[in-house]
Amino acid sequence: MKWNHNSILGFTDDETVMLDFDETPFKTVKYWSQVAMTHFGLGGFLILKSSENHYHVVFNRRVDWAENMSVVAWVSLQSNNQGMLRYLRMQCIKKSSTLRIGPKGEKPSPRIVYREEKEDAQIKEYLETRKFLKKQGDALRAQI
Amino acid sequence: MVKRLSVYDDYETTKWVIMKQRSWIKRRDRVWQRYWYKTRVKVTVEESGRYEFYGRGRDLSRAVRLAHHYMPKGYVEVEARDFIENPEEYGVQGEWIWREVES
Repeated sequence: MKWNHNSILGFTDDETVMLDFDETPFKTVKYWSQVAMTHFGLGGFLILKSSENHYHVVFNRRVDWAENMSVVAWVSLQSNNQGMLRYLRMQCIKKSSTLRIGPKGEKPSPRIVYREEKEDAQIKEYLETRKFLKKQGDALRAQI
Repeated sequence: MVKRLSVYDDYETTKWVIMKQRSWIKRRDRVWQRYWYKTRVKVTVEESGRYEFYGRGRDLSRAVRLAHHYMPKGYVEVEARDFIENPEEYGVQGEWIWREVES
């Protein structure tokens, strides 16, 4: 997805569990996503590659804000991921989770690299928003 | 369905700032005395901001396009329709900065 904006576009939600793994290999990301899904019964997940060794994870089950932060805090502590701890703090300040959807500088939009189990709830919503933003990108490109 | 979107990054905008300017005055005893006076100067500043839009698809689409021209005044959480109706209340005119990023 290309974007004429120099600004960054993100998907925001407080009922979707989203994780941001920085400087983490894919195998580790997949492992912790599976562990979190089993431990909290999150139904399914989607892994997106943001850039080399940077991944985003979106889980399927709808949760409330308290449970959402509980999952993120649990994964960041268990995996000892400092980047995710910083992400957790930022989301707590904003009171909602955000993951980048559009490009950032020279980096392209995150692309889907792995899917597991169900995609009928929050993942569906995430993918719809992603599709919607892609259309916006095309419209803006035509406009500018 | 109500969706939520974020638009964020660093931007450049012009701002009026009060600065001190040096000047000289010739006194009656013919000594040049330096003094400072305050003046308003227009400067280009680099700031960062964030829009948190919520609303329906069509409104969000228009809000995102408007966000291309109006830079957020800090952290702005606003309904897309309110932003479309009155963008000057929530943003200032400027330009988003294109820069290379590491993460």
